[in-house]
Amino acid sequence: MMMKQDDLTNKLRERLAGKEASVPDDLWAKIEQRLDESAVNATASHSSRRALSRRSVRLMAWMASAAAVALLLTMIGYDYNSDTIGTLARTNRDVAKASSENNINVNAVETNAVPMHVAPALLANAKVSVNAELDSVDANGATLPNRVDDFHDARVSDSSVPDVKKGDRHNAEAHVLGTYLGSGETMGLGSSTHRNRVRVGISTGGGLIGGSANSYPAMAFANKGVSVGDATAEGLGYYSDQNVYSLLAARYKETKHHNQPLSFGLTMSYSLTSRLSLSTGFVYTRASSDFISSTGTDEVISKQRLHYVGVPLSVDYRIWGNRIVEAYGMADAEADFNVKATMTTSGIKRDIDKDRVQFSLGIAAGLQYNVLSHVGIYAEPGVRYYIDNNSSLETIYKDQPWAFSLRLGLRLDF
Amino acid sequence: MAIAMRYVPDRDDAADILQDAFIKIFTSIGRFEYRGEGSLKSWLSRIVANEALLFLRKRVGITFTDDIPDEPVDEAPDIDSISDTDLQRMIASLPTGYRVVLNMYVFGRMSHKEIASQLGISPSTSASQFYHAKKMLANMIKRHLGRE
Repeated sequence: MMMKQDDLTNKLRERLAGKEASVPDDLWAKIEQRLDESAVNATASHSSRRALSRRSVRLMAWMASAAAVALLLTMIGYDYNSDTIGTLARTNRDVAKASSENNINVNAVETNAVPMHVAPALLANAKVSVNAELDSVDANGATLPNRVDDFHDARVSDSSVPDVKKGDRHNAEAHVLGTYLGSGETMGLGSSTHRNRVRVGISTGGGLIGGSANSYPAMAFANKGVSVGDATAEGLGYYSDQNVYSLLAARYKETKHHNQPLSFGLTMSYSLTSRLSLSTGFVYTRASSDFISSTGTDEVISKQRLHYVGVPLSVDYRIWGNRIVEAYGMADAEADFNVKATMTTSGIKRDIDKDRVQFSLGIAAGLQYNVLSHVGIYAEPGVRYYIDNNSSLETIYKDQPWAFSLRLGLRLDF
Repeated sequence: MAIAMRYVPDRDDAADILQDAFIKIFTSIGRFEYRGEGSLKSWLSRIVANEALLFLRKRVGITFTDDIPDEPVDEAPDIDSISDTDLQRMIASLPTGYRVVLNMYVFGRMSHKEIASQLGISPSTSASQFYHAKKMLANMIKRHLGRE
């Protein structure tokens, strides 16, 4: 039976295996049409998949770099700037306290400090009717000649200045102080605490620039033997014309501190040759400075904030490299435009004149580690010079034109 | 076309199957490996058969009937006097499961193990289906010859 069944199988196979059947007339046309459609769809799908894949990679890379940048900025900003004001203020109070314990009991005078470079001009224009015999003392306590004439040419609101007589020094002094310690921008020139800090600017092409806050020598006079305010310390208890200025100057302790600017930027490179490439982009920089003016135990803090948008242009030369690590040198020039400038004093924020364009030049060595084939992290330590732009603003660029720089960033190749 | 019609008797459906098969052939021709004479024909035939199976799964589903012929047939019928067209018609009238297994075994020259693997059934089920398919076909042939 099996043999017979196998016969049927073989017979069927022999009869129908090679059997052909006619096809519909439009079969080939339909096949061609479907082939064309599938080819177009395949190309579009492939391109969109590739584009989507590229976009996904780019998006993921940008998200990762943005997160890393934000975290690093937060950490560094907190670490370096968290206690600046408090420390400086405490320093000033300690100094003032030590001075007052030794020399003078200083009245609390509510004031907005006047710049030292401005004060002489104001004083020169202030009219002080001082008839009292005021003696000035030098740093060693020796009495200096009276130089009333120096002040007689000064001009000030006439009705406001009383005659100063012996025994009336407090009122006169207070009034004079009230006249001259007027409102104005506080730009300290007093002693400042000097700290060397590294300036960090993190970006995919940004910068970490080192610098230090500049400090100016104090213009305080030795006040030994000079009476100020209510209390009369040991000493003469008189004022000389010159000493009025001295007293005023002595009351000021103006401190200036430039915080290290933070930069964040985005740059793009174009390869000119296998070793040489050109980069440009945008860099945002925030430069903040704190000015503390102290009149004894009180201080007024003014915070200056400058926002720059810069355009860098750099030339990179690849020295050596393999798939993992690359070493290169670079030279660049940058123009930073101050787009916003504010000053906050006693909680009141206002716009101030913007800084002029800040040009700078820099050279650096770079080292890049490729974490992926198209993604690398790099560090570029170098030196930067900020060209004086003759601006009237007090900035770290003016005080410290030469600066060490360190850029950390993320580089993506497309 | 003939292969497609063995699995799916309807001519229009068979034409659709053939279109799909040719699309697949042209787009995957790069994957074909020549293994001697007849390998190309065998490859093409396998693609058409697979497309037919795919069609059946999607459209009607392949059920494996227990419709066992009542009349036992001891002898293989003589099919020499039957035309190819009638034979194809008889095969087309078989239940789907019977027809698929028959085509795969007889014309696809697949073993019951291979058929079982492709259809998701057991080899014994495949053999059973084929046995019953032949019996039913034999009865059809006998009845056709008897009428004549």
